[in-house]
Amino acid sequence: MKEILNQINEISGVKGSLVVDNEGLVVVSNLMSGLEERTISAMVAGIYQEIIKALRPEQGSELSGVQLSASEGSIIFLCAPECILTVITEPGANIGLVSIKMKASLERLMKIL
Amino acid sequence: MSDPLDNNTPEQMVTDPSSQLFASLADFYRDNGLYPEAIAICQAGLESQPDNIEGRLVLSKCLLATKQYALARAEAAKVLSVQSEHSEAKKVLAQADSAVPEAEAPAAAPVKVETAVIAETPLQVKTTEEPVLAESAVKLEAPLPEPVKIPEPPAREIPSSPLPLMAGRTEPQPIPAQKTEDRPAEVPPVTKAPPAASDKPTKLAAEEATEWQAGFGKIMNDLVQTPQVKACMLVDENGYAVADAVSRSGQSLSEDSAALSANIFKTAFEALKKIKLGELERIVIETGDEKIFLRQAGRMIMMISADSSAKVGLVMVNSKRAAEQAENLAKKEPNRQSF
Repeated sequence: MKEILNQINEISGVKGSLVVDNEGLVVVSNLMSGLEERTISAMVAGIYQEIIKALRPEQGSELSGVQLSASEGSIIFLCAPECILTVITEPGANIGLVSIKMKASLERLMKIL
Repeated sequence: MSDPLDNNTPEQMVTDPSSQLFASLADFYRDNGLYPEAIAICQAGLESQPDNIEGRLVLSKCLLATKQYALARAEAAKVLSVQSEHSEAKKVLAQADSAVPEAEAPAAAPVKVETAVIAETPLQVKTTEEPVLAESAVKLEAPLPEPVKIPEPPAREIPSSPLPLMAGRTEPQPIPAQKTEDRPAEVPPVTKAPPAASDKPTKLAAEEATEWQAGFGKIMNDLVQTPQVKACMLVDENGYAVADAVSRSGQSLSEDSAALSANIFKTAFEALKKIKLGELERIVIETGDEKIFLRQAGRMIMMISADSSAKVGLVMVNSKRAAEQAENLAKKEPNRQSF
């Protein structure tokens, strides 16, 4: 799992990545200095829960991924049934490339989990 | 044979005014200050004995004492006409002449009244009616000068007091009258002019407000023309929908979705601040069958629902332009109320 995260972090503009469960507990993380994994995991879990509430469950919509773009970076996370893969990038990062790499990495993580 | 002196018995002297001693009796009354009684006795006695000098002299003195100078002077003159050297008659005449003749005129009428009243009533000096007559006569004479004075003050007060009273009453009366006159005069302009003046501003304001609101709808209609975009909505910071648009194939976004999207954006905004990633600009939520874009447009949040096959880059470009337009339009709000 660490190796999978390291491959993600090799992408230009990526500041770190981590895997958390739906409750916000950190499964595995590979973050650069200055980023607190507990804070990030708690925030991601909170946003995830809010989005799940907002989605219409009667229509069978399942959350697959979220991108939050801010002035000093972005947070991208992909949702699996048991975990959330989260990546933190710098402002000029290639979000598309990161997203493709994240999807491949999530499939690998799901096989491991 | 009847003796004329028989008439001068004490009883006759008291009851019969034609007694020859009426002058002495009247003088007695005059000495005791009972002038009306004395005058009555004299007048009654002089009717039967008009040549009685003493009786006429006593009458003149009584009239002089009661300030009936003209009558006193006339009676004294009658005495002097018979006895030109009568010293007391001259004295009464001199005093009557020296007295103010103007005061005689008002005093003349009461004397006639007294004479008329007393002449009708018999002389009963010792009866109980005497003091009544005396008191009434005194009362009639004493207030004589007063009635003349009393009417004057009221006469002065009436014209003087009513003037201030009227002035005091007319001042408030005209004031309400002016107020009542002014009110209808003021109210119509207030009701007419302001409405006339305020109708246009209100109409203009209403038109501006409608145009302003229509501007957001137009922005949303332009945005919903983006390919694969099903619906879009502009939500204020409190979660209330401002404007929305729906494509032909899409479904309108409910107000619950607007409120929930605003809540999501707030939560994410606070989270990114804590992570020190700056201010949140946009959120892209991907589900199995759709993509939801949340973007900040000033103080509002733009929510776009697109198909899962929608090109994120294209939607982002269009949504960014729409967000800038909405932000600029929000700054041009007529009432400058923040959302």
